[in-house]
Amino acid sequence: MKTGAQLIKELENLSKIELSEEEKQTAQKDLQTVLDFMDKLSELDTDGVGQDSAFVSGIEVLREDTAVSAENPQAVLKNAKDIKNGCLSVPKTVE
Amino acid sequence: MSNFENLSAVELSRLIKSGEITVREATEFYLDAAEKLDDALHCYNTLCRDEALKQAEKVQKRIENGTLCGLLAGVPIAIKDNICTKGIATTCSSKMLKDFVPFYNAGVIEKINGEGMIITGKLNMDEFAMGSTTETSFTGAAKNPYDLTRVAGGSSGGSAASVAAGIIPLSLGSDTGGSIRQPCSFCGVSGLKPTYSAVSRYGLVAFASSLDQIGPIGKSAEDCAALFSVICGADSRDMTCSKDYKFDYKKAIKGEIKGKKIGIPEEYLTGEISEEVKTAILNAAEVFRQLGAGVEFFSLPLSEYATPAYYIIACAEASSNLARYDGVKYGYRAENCQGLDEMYIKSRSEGFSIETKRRIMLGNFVLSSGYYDEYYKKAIRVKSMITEAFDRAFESFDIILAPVAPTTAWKLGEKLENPVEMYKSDIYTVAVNLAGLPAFAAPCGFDKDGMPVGMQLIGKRFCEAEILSAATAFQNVTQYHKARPSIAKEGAL
Repeated sequence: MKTGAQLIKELENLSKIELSEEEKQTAQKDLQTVLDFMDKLSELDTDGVGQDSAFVSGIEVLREDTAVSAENPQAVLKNAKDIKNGCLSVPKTVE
Repeated sequence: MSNFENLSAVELSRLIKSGEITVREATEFYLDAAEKLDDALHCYNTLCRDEALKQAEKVQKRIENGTLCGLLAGVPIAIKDNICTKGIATTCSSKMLKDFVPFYNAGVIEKINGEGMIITGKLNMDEFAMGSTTETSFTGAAKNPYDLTRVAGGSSGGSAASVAAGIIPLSLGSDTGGSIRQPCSFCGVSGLKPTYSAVSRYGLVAFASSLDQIGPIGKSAEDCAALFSVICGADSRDMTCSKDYKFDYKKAIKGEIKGKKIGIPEEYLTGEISEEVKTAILNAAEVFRQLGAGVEFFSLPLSEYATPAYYIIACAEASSNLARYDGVKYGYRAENCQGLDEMYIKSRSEGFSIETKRRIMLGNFVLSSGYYDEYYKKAIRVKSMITEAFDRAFESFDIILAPVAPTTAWKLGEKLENPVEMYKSDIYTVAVNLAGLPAFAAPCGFDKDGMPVGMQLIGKRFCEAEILSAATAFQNVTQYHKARPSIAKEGAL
């Protein structure tokens, strides 16, 4: 297991989140507490048990491949912060 | 008639349909009540007075010409703020979505509008439904109407507290690990967490997609049954929604319990549970015995493993579901960012609360290489084992009676220091979500401070009618569901 600080840095990267210094201190302490809590499951022998998906079986996921027009495509953009020429404007994506 | 407080929602609709009161009168009553009390309670994030009154006029005309005649036509309702309402802000009580206005209605909102109900506004909740007290709300915590220094519960705290305070007859909440049942228990009202797939999740802002369900909150089993009959059923836009489910409303309000077998898990009445909660559950069991049900204790294995399994799965799914909040298409966007990556990181860091960030990071941890098998895969298998344990129990019993929470509502700020202490309080609710079962929470007592105690009736999959019927039988002979906090007593409004 990585050290607390290394692990926090890695999780920040995976989560696209940057904690403040104060939040980092709390997160290191809390992470260990929560992991100890989750480690309870290691007491159970789960070899060969059930499915490896969280979803219940029997759900039908297929439908006919029919095209449906969106009612108002412009409405989709109304919540965006910055639109230019009908496109979402964001900071530079490549150097 | 000037005070609708003692009417059920079904009776209110009856009076509206018969012309004794108008939809406007009913809507104005509840809007006025919210304006009078909500500064103290903070149940609402958004109150929609003008829109509600406009809608009331339209619905009145349709009731008069006979095109609207359903069980709840004309009845006001408020909606948890993680359910999309077209043209009305849907914030999830988060800075990330504080300005987000959906351009579409959730499936359940289409059904509520089709019934002719009047949406009065959007209700306060824990941010992104992550919490058990409504204290993670960006807009501030909702208060418990029985004691304004105590939590309303969560994450549907606003939904439960508003019904308890009498400022709305019905509300919608959502339940991923107890978020309807626990605030109902803390606030002394009734609420249903439906079978997974009974209600469409289309338009529900996703937290944990294999666990989330929208459900009704009201003052009684009868009112919850009526609202559930409106919102349940097929929706092709949610692939997990059952295509075939038919809810028997008449059976649900019959109050049948004689001859039914009720089991109480022994493990739930030992350990952390308070004596007052335990006493209330045992008293409820005695009421069911007097009504002719067979009640006995049984062992429900794996009870202590449900909470860690739940938090692993829920955080894993949340880390994936909340990856969409990047400041690009909608939601909070940080300013003065030099590149795209910086925009993602700053928007998410500034837009989410610490609890949401904690759960996203935990979720990424349990899904990451080197830890996936030990945590996530393990938790999924434990979920299967817990589901099987419940299925075995239901070979012997029709209904399982259990507490909702180990204690009554605690003081605001009391459990914010240690997240695991908060997580552990979900001990009786999360297993139900893991197994995909329905469960109905109803008040069954009070503690020495006058705070409500709740019980839950857990049923077999798609047996909402059975558990609601049992709850109706209980409420036909008890008065707990009729109690009102002093803030809501007649004359206060």
